[in-house]
Amino acid sequence: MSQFVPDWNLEDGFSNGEDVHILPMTSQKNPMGRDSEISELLWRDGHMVVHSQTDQKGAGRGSEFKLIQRHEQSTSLIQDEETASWIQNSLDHSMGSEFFSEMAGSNSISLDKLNNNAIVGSARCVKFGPTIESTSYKEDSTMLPPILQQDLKQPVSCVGNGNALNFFHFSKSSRGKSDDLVAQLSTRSIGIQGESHPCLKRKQRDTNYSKDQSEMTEESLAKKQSRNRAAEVHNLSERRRRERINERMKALQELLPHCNKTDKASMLEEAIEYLKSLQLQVQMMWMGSGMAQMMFPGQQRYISGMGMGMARASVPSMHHGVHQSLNQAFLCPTASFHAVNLENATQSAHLQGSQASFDGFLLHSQACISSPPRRLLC
Amino acid sequence: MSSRRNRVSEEEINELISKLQSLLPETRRRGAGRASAAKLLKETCSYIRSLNREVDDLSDRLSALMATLDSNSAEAEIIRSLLPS
Repeated sequence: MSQFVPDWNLEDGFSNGEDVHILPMTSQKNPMGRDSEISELLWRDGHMVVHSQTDQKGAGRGSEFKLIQRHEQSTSLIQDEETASWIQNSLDHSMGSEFFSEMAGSNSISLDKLNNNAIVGSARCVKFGPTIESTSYKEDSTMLPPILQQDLKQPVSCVGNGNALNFFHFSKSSRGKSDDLVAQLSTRSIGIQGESHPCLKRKQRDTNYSKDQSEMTEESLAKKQSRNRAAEVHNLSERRRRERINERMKALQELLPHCNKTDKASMLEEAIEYLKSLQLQVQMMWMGSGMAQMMFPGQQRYISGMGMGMARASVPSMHHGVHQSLNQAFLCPTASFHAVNLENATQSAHLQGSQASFDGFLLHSQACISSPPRRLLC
Repeated sequence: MSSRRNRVSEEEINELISKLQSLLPETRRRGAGRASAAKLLKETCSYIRSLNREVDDLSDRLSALMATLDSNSAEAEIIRSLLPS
């Protein structure tokens, strides 16, 4: 007896190179139409066709599937008795008697033909539709119609285990439960290849399979993989970002004088303080040099440089008519310096020591401002 | 991986960073939104370096100016106090 399981879309094919592609490829649109539509997959004349209940173009729709069965006549496809009985049972339980009778009818029809082709497990009548929700795949081999049961008693052997049953090529679009049903059909067949009487074992594996396979449909697998990859990429970029920040922190630490802290927060605090004190120091030095230049006109060559360096605060220039730039250069730092000083000096510990001299300097500079003209004119 | 209860929370660090940002001279964009931490740290480093250079220049000038002063005068004293060393 030929050992071919009429499994769908077997990659390794049969020994004579035949393969049966029954299911729509994922790249195709769902040929079964809308969600609520009920279609049947029927095995006719060695073909699997789709017969839609709402759409009467059974044959036409059948062509939508990638039905490739090359050796219709000579092939003897032995359906796994397990699958057939299981399908029967599932349909029994979920669909009600109506479907069953219909199926039984088609069973007999198909069986005749199938028997001719030595195809066991005739009516692969799987109906898709909302009613499947309550499907439970509990076996009950007693429910099989006698015809099928008889056939099923023949020993079943299957194609080598290397065949990858690829049920997942069913269109997964929005079929939801119906897809799950088909997926479970396929996985069932996978699991029971090569077993002669899997009926009993099926019961045990039942709960495991239905649970596992529903979680691990191909789509969710792919999603998980892509999510994992995205997470990896994210982690990598995050790590690189953190490394970059750590580098910069180290460079900053080197710039800070007398910094023995290593944690981020205290280093940042120290950097802030240091920056403030540096700014203050620069301003003071500008002021000092401005004052010194004011007192010594001979140093005028520095003035322009200083004037450009200033320009923090806009201070109304004193119209002495003499060396306005100098005055401005001097007044600017004074004003801003004054403001800055009031703001920072009280906070900064660095200025404590020089506070006295600073105050003296301010007084002095103010005195200079008030009576510069005469001295400058000299 | 940092634990949930850091001693110094992420928020504090962010706060410090924005304080730092406020000190930096924003030459390009006024009131710019929060730049990335790495960029800010880089700017801080370069700013500190430029400030140090400025201090060096100014101290050169001040010392030159001081040379002309009477070393005992008050002005000289002030300028000396300004010098970093």
